[in-house]
Amino acid sequence: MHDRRAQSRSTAFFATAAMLTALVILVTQVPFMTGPRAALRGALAPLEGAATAGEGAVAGAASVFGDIATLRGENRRLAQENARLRAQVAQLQAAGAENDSLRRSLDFERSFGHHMVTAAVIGRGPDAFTRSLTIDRGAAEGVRAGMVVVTGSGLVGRVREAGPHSATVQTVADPLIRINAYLVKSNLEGTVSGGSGPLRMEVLPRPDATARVGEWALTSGLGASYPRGIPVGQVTRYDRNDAATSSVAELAWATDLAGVDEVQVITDFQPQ
Amino acid sequence: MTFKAALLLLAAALLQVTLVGRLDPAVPAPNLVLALCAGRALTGGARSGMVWALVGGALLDLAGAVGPLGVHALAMLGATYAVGVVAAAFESTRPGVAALAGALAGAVYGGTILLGADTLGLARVSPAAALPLLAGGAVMAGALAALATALMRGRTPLEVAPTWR
Repeated sequence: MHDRRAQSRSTAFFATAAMLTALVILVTQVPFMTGPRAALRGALAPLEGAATAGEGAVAGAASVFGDIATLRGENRRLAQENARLRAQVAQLQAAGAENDSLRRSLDFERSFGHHMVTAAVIGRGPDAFTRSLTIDRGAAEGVRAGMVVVTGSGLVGRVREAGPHSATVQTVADPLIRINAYLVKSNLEGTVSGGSGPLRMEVLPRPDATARVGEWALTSGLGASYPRGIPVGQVTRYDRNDAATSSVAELAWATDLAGVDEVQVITDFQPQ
Repeated sequence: MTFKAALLLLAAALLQVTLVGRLDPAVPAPNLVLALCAGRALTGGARSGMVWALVGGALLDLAGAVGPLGVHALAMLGATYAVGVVAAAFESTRPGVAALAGALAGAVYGGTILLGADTLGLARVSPAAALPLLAGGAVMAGALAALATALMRGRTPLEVAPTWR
């Protein structure tokens, strides 16, 4: 009897708390609550920044005792990849194709031609479905919702909310993301869909062209959602289907979202 | 809820959005806050667990989630209530029961986040992509809940039968 009363009290507590929480969700999703919501989220940003700095210090100390052989192997792999990327840059120059965005390892802002604000990543979204980033720059530093976010490697995503001194970025891992892109060598166009696995590009086929593994996909600028020329990913697989209206290519992300520590927010491009 | 408990939840939330966020997205990520709330519900009663869930979920909402506030709090609340249901049904906090309760909590949490994201237009995940994430999350939550319960049980009388306190 006592337990049944306690059970019904707990159920009542759950129902009341759930209704109040649902009310908070409804109230905070209306458009005029975007500013206060972003400001509230910014309240934890200093702690996130401190936690990220602490994590970096611990990782730095632990790396002293890391496996030297593993690090040497990784260094060799990165050196080979760097050489491959440099060769690719040379090919694009020779072909006269758009290559400014592929000078990212040298001087991204100068070659890309947009004004950018550099921000540190101080947190990551807590769930596996929306995959967001929190950065330590906000409205006070010129960051606004909708602005495009990149790294030296390529596209990261778009600012979703901007508080006074922090902002939340919706990344390309978010399944809602859609990016108009084109393949550099074959000049095929299509739309890239976000997701936690490989990016998926629906390619508009042409009889005279086919995508190749290793080919880079860059933003096309169509629809004016993203500036043209930002690397999105590299083709790892292409399933050509002449009977369908589009073929599908899988892309490896240009940017490793799990490892990115610093991003650039493009502040002089207004998406449509 | 004590100040120490609030600090513990804050530390777990900060670790969740910094260290845990760096893990390979192909691997189910541990949810530290969910594990703590499930452990509290199993050792301290369902209502106590739900209070922890509201605080922990609110911290996750503030610490970098997108969209309206409260989605993670609601998901955590439902997950912890589910823990209370399992615990009262078995009247035990043995590791097997804790793991089962944690797994159910993980599934409820992930399902609520997915449903909320879809309803609020935050994300649309296909079933083929969602199911492995949900299943992996549930397994991870079950393991962590069992661990959290074992650690927390040392601070409460061993033979306390879980009730709807």
